[in-house]
Amino acid sequence: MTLAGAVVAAVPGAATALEYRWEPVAAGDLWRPFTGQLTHWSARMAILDLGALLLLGAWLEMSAPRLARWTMLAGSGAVALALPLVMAPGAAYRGASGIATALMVALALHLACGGSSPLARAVAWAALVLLAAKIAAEILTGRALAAGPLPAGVSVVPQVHLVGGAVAAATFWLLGRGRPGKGLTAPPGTPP
Amino acid sequence: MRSLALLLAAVAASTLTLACAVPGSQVLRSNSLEYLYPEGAEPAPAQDVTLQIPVRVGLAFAPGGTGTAWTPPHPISEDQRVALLERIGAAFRQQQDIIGGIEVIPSTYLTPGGGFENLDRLRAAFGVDLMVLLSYEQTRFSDTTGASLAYWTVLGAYLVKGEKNETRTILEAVVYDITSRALLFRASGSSASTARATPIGVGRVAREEGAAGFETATDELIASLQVALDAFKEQASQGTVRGVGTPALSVVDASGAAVQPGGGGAGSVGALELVAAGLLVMAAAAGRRRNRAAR
Repeated sequence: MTLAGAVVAAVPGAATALEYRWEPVAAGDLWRPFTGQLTHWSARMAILDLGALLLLGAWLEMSAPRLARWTMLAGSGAVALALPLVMAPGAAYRGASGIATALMVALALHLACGGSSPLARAVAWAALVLLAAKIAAEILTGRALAAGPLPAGVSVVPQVHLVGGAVAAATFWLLGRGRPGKGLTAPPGTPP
Repeated sequence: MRSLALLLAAVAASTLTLACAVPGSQVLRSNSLEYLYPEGAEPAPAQDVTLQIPVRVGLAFAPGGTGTAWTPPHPISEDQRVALLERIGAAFRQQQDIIGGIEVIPSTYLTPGGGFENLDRLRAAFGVDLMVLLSYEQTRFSDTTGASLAYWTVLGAYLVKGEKNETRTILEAVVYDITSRALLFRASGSSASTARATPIGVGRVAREEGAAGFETATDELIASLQVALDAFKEQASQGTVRGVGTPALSVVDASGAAVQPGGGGAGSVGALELVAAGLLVMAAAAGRRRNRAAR
């Protein structure tokens, strides 16, 4: 997915053809809610989004492959379904942060509930609280926190982060709350 | 003999009253096209449009009819027109991302047939970039019903509502970029109503129905304008004003940087998420080292 996002960012015009926009979707471009998550407004945004996706996805894949795959699948699907609800007609959406947030929540829950060290559990819970507080603040105030520069007229959509995080939590719970021996995570002693 | 004279006088009075209430119609209109492109003037082609947002928008009624004693320049008063324009302006003000200010311009500033030269002067005077011009056509039909027989009693002319007034109103708004002379989008609203009146009160009822018709048509126009504005934003994202063959359109901010028309949403990882992700991966790595050491 990171590679696909990098290719889309590198090919001129690809982002415009693949971004999410309601009107083309209504006209039949049903792939746009999914491919829109591979497109970005700027090179800086692409580097940050895809970098976070690569880092979190790779680590979760090594630690809990089943959780990683289901989180990716459910997260991208839920964000795709949510986009028509949270985006105004005529507005375009680009970005992979919905999936990145889903992976972050899945990794944090995996660490918090998966038999890690007390420090790792504390860090995981702190990350979850930080993320939840940020999303809540952004939704309540309508202002993005530490989002960095975006093109004029473009604003962060925190509802997408909320959907990604909630779906990751649901996926983690449905897959057995990360207990070793249920196939979600590698049992202790298993080589990575 | 005296009684006969009184009866004849009453009949004559009733006949006069009826003569004042003969069936007919009256059309009151103002036309943006006639105002912008007066007869004999060379129409200038529209240029490509560059909108620097937020834009300031002027709102005005296009100049009305001839203004003689029998055909007033507007069917509603200046105060009523300003109130309607304020309502439309309030709907525009909700678009805070692109609208920087709304200016309601009194009718006295618009010269009949003034064209874009008049708009240029308004642009300089009020500092507006776009102009919303409202034009209307209000048709008032008046019919006498069978109940008008009661008018022959004289008293009936005061009590029986034998006059049927029908009022149809069409209100249209066109939005022009003054600099480029380009029509950006248009919207319309309409209304139709029927009311009954006595021959004595027929004029008053017609005026009231006329004003109510404008109110109802304005409600529909505001809803239609929202739809048209959304469609315009969508069209703007394609880079033209109204599709292929119409002037090109670009939207820039105050610094001149290109703006995403219609707005955009970003699923963007911010600094806080990066910090959280970094901490998580470090904690996971530490846990992994600890597990390896334990083995």
